[in-house]
Amino acid sequence: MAETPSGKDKLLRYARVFVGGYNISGDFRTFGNFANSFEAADMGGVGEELVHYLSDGHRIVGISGFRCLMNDNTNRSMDLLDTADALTEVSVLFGGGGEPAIPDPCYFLPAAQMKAITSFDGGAGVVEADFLYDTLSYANAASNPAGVVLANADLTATADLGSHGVAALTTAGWHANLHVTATAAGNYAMIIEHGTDDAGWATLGTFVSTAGAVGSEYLTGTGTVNKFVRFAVTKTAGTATVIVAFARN
Amino acid sequence: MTAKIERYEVLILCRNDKTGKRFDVGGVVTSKDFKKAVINNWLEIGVLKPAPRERLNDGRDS
Repeated sequence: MAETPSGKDKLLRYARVFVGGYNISGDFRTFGNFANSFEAADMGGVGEELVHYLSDGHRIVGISGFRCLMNDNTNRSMDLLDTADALTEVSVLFGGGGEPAIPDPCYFLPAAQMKAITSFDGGAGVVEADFLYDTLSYANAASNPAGVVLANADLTATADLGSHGVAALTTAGWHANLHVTATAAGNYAMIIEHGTDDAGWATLGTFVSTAGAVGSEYLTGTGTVNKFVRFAVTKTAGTATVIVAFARN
Repeated sequence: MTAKIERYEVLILCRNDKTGKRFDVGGVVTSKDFKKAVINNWLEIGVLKPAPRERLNDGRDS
């Protein structure tokens, strides 16, 4: 059944940040911006009347000024972000009324970390990073980083998670980030499904990961995405904690 | 008059929440398993394709 976002009409209280298979929300401090924009192209000429803008066709997507406390524990911010030019999945989930849930908004990238600057800010050690699209993934034209949360859940059994619906089907493909942040001998088939009526579901994509190891995965697809989407798992064994961020292009 | 039941071959795994039925790749979906609009959409996007006709015992196509 289609879910209602917890973040609607609320101030943001619960941001969650996932890098690879790790939740570094506790270290996360501020960010500059989450870019998803075009520059205006020069129209030429000089006049006093207003002119319409043209896009330069160059879409800028990425996270800048992502700043974390310098936590050097294993798999925390400093440990994960101290080396630029690393490729990993990055997802930032926004929960307004509570812990981010289906289908709260999120911003995610198959990211290339472009810098790792360490400094002191008000006496606190911080590490600052920029993330841009991993260019290999960008070639798939999966370029919209603004999506929704399809899962933020502990997996213990076979389950169909809540669905998210938009006004109408889209036709320009889709992409998704999966983060497996914990596993206890987890073995799950994990798929994204789509459907026209929130009752009949077809597989849209299947993650390679079976939640047997902590880590992350980026998955893309082309063509039609029907009105409703959801995340579904089939259990073979164990338990796991997973996050799925999904966007239509 | 009874409507003819159409058969479709499954190209991508699909499921029906209401009946709990699961249709694996290579299986068969009939027009009774899903709403007509759902089936039409799936024919369009490649989830299903019309199943080849079977020969009946009397030699006619199904």
